[in-house]
Amino acid sequence: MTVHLRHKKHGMICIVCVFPKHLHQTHANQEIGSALRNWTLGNWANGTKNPSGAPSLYGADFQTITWAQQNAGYLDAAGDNPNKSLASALSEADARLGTFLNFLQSSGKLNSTLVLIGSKQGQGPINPKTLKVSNPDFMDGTGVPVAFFVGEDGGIVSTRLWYQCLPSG
Amino acid sequence: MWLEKSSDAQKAKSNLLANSSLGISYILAGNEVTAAGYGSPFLDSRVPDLVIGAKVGTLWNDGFEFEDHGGFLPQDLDVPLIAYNPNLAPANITQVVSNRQVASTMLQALGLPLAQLDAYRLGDSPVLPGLFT
Repeated sequence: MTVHLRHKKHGMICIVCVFPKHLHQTHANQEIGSALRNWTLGNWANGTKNPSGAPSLYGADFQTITWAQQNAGYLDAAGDNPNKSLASALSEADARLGTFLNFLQSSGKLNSTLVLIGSKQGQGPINPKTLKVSNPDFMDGTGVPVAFFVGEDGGIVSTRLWYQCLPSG
Repeated sequence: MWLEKSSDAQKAKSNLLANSSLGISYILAGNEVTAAGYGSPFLDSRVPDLVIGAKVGTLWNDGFEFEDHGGFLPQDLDVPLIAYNPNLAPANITQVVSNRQVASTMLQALGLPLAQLDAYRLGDSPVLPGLFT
């Protein structure tokens, strides 16, 4: 995810996030790259002129990574070896981010832009050979009245971030 | 999981753990949820009465996927946050921060009044460290 903000003194800031479901990977990433460039140039995402000019804050996400994690995943539980499709999605997102940073630099806006890259939660790798998928009915299993159950938002309740400031280059 | 009565948490935990086919690794119930840092389900209705963790390699889902998604394992909870600008001093900051702090940080960067952001004013979403001097 890249976010772009404009600082009172220093110019702009930018934020980017990582997630599109049901979109072709290359197409989605191309759309993200062109949208970021268009916003920076003071256009709407589709390239038509925005009378208000460039926004002070904008962002994008790379849903292709989450799509590939869900549908291809990793070859091991450590996450060191992504499936070919996931590796491609990661490389593509990395390249798109690099292209955008180069664009910011060539347009003279990199120094005044803060780029934040984050995620709302992780998607833990699982060894596909030992993966066990089940849909247990927790609601019945408790033996007491259940008001609400949600199965995949632990990260929303308690996501811990490991924070890093990166130098130039 | 939120129960209709928070006082049923220990009973629900016992019943769920009795079913070994569910692939449950652990369950936090009632005060255990509070002790884990999620807040008190007895004082705050937003806090779940039960936090249920799956065994490694088990995925609770309607369909087939190849990754956990929003579970309570470290690889789901510990995610990176990267800030980039050519003028930033390089640093790995091990301080635990929250995504909420991104909002405060953006206001600070834009030169907007932080006091107008409820989360910042309430004190649990300070500006991310290491960006502004």
